[in-house]
Amino acid sequence: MKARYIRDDVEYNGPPQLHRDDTHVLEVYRNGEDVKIRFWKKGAVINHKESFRLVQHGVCEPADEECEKRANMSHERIVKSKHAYERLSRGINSEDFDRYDAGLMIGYNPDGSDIPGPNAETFDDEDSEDDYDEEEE
Amino acid sequence: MAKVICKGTIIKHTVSSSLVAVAQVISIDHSGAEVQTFENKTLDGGAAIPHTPTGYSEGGSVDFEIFMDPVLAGHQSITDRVTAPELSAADRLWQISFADAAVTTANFTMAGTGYGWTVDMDDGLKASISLKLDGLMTYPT
Repeated sequence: MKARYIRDDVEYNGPPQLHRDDTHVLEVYRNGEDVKIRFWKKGAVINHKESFRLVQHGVCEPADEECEKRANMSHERIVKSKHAYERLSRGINSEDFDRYDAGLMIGYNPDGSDIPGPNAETFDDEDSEDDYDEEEE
Repeated sequence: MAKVICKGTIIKHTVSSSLVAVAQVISIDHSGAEVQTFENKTLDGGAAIPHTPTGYSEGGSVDFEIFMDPVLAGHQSITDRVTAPELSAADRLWQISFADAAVTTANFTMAGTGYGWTVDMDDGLKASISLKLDGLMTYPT
């Protein structure tokens, strides 16, 4: 049963000699230092009896009919799962799902404040406009 | 020195040689890790009861609670571990990522999974997962 990775940040957990071509070592900041961690490459195909679970998690898409059948998900659900996993991997609290989905924030700083999303500036601009109107009145 | 917030903490488990995050986690609790000791009082000893380390350490357990979604793959993957417990050490690896500035992670291998859920008319559907550690957690040093 085969599935194809649609993300490049899924940490590999297996013998390094296996899947050597499907994984790569990246330097990431962890435990206060830069460390080398092996990740699955986006586009890599895994052949595993539980690979349908990776599809359902939102980190893979089916790469053969068996996996597609077992995952039992429409394309739309796969897209939704991918989005949900992206949010989950950033540790987004359910209370902030709407703001994340609106692009206002993409995660949290260590002090709990938002890491601004691509639309955060737009939101700020709207705020500023309101302030301006109030001042005019 | 910092007071680290819990919001944003992630727990991941191994599925098909991949570490993937578990959704809808409410709380994570690690307990029971301790150095094993034995009591070595003797008839000719003093009033205080002495203890000595055996040279072994107990890893304890990691317990966590989730808002359970019976059809969610991440939650089904956990019950897969109960119905099919024969796993390699690699497949029993879990990882907790804290939401601190150092991006601290704590990895551990679990020996077995405990699972239970609660239906409560005054609450959402919740499940409790208990992971008995095989060895010690890799604590940040």
